[in-house]
Amino acid sequence: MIKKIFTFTAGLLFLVGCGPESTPESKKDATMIIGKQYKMYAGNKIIKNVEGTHIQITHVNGESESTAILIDGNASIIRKPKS
Amino acid sequence: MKKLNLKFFILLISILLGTTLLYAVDNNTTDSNNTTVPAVPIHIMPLGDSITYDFRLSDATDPRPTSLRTGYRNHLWYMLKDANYTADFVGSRVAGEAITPHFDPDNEGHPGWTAVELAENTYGYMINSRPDIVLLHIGTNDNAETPDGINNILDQIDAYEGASGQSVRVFVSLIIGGQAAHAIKPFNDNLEKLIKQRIINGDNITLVDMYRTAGLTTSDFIDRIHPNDSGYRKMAQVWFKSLMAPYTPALYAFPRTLVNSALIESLDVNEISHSVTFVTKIPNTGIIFY
Repeated sequence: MIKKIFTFTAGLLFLVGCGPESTPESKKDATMIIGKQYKMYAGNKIIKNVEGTHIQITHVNGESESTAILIDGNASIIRKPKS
Repeated sequence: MKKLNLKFFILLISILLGTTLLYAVDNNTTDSNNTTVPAVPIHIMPLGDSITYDFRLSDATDPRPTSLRTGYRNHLWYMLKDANYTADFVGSRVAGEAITPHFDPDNEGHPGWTAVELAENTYGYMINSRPDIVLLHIGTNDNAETPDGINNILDQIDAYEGASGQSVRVFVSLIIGGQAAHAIKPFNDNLEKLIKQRIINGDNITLVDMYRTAGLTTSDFIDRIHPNDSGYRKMAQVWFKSLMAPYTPALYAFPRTLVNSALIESLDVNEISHSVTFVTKIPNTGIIFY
């Protein structure tokens, strides 16, 4: 019985390990959508895709992340590469 | 066991002593409203024209003794004292020394002067009085829509800070209107833009909206330009609120840690939520968060 449980558990872990990776949005590169809030963390970068692009950034003193909103133009978020 | 108790006792005494010493060297105290107030005198320079010195049009023909002229200064002094805020008003001029209750009559109010004239002397005033804080209300005599003179004054204060290594916090007031409130609106609008831009660029300035928030009515003026005592009390209230408001320099500095100030188009600090929101163009190199 114990052997069956062990085999089942190991199989389950194997399947979970091989399943499709679910990356949170906060770790994905993205093309920004106007008006949508994006959490920005240390090492993240925003680049413009067209000249004259404006973003609004909000930061709370002492917190490690900031919030960015695309106001106009076109911009992309590049998240920090995995170390 | 006895040794352990002794160690614990020594540790406890050390913590208590350390706390006491830390409290003793702290230069600030907290009042009943949980606002931090300075325990050492803060040198405050009331800087401006007749509205700072207290000159009314009738003084030109029938002058009052200068020892009885107070403007907003005595009211502000009393408010600060009630809040346990230890102030030292500074400046080369003295007016109001005969008033009771007594207040510090030192000031830098120059009746009739324009902002341009004041700017020509500001550096010297800074050198002589070394203020920590400047309360600036100037422009009534300018008859102009552009606040170039105030820009010059702020440049002079920056020059003093650079030369002396002293930091000065400047409270710049939109000017009160008197009977010509509509006429000074363009001046105040341009002054507000100037101050906001200078804050974005890193100047240690607080905009004081005396124009819209002092609540002065025609009954608060002794003549077409100058407030009476009730008007000056209202002005003092606005200065006082600004002086006592929380101020977090790091919030103002944060945007410039991400982008060049030339790219920032607006900046709004919320001291209650301890947050800063700003709109900026994205530089060619992008914006890297840290």
